[in-house]
Amino acid sequence: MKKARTAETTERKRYEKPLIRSEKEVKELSFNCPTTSVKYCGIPFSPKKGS
Amino acid sequence: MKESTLLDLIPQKNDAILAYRIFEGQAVIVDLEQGILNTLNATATRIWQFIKEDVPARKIAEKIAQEFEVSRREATNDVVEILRNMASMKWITNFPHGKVCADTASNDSTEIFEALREQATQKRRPLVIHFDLTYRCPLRCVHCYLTGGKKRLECTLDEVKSILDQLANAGSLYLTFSGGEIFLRDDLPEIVAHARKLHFAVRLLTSGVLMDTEKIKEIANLHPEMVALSVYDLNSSIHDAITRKNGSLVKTLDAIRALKEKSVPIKISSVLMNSNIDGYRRLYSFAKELGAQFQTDYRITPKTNGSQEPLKFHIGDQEVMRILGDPIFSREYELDPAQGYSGVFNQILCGAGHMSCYISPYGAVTPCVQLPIECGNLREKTFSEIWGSSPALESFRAIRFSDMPKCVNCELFAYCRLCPGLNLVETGSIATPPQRICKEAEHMKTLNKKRR
Repeated sequence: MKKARTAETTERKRYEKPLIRSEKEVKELSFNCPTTSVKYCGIPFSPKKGS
Repeated sequence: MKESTLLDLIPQKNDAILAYRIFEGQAVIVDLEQGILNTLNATATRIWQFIKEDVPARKIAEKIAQEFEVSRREATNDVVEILRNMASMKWITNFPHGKVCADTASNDSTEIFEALREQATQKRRPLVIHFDLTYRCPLRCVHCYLTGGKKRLECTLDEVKSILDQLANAGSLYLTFSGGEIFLRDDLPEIVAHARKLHFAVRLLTSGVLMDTEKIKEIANLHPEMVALSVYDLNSSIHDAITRKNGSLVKTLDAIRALKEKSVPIKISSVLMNSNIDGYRRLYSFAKELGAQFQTDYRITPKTNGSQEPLKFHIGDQEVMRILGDPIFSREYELDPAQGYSGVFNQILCGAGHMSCYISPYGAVTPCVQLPIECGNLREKTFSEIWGSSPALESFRAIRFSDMPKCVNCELFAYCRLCPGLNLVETGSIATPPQRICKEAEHMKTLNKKRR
């Protein structure tokens, strides 16, 4: 006879093979956020018109 | 090595060279030695979390098999493979190496960071922090935006540590310490050590003039993500005239060489003004030979007290055009103006207050160093209280490009690199850019046309 699922049974998550994605941190000579020098401040360049 | 022996090993994180956070369920890891940003999928993130628990590889595989729909055999094979991979990249110790098989994006890709930035903004996570530790400075740079002002009590070491603890809990990863001259604080190595203990990617902005062998050794051992040093020209008469401190260039260059010897990642930052505009190419070559990054900035900003005096050092139109068109720099003007940012960055003015913020030496929180909108003080409230419910921050966050109809309908808008902070300090309105920013956009458009 099949055992009933108990309250303690936890749902197992969908499995994906463990994966690492990598990218070199930006080394480009950029003018982004020139006033603060804060890396990755997020100042956009050329936002789309009409937004 | 036999598999049974391998599975008994307890891998250890190599915290010395890594900065990391669990960000919306995925581990984000900055390899500080290689300058590589990494994200881990859900399974790899759980493995990374289990490594922290000091358990053998066998136990990690068991836990993965319990949590995910995968057989014990497959989980074991995959755990061993990814641990070997992490060992090869020096992320963990006490485990044999395997082949490096990260899914590596091309060198000029910023896809991973852009996704992270978008996510941080959507979820309101303070991913990037700029923390000025002092406004004191031995230099008197002609263009500096700081004013002497009243002497106030800077955050103590304990206060700074408490703030860093709060920032780590809030999910901040990139942390810049600046000033003033940060090396005027004797407790700087202790502050950086605490930040690194909390796994921040730490960047230091300094003139380098107070760095001696001992300090450089201490800092190098803490693996900052980057030390950015201000150099205005390789000619000391030009550089020292800007810093108004004789002998400052020699000291800065000594610091750069000593940092290089210790393999610390260096960036040479140079504000371009009338007096040093002709020397930036030499500086660029110097940085390149050194293996350092190079960044220039020709946008001079008014002083924090509103004085426009520093603007007299701003380069002229022709020089701006020359800089923007110089192929050594990012050729942003080549981008198709129709291809702007997507998602939330197509609506908000910038990441300030959404995914980044500024903290003053006195604990004041503002959206950015350039945006003097005080949202609260960390001596009175916690960071999460300020970040989560400051009315001033909420009002700032609510601003959209649609609140700037004049700009949005301007034919130069697609080329514009407006900065809300610069707008505010120079024109008194976040929504109104100074004329020189419009002029700059005009140059970008001209360059873009020439390219075609």
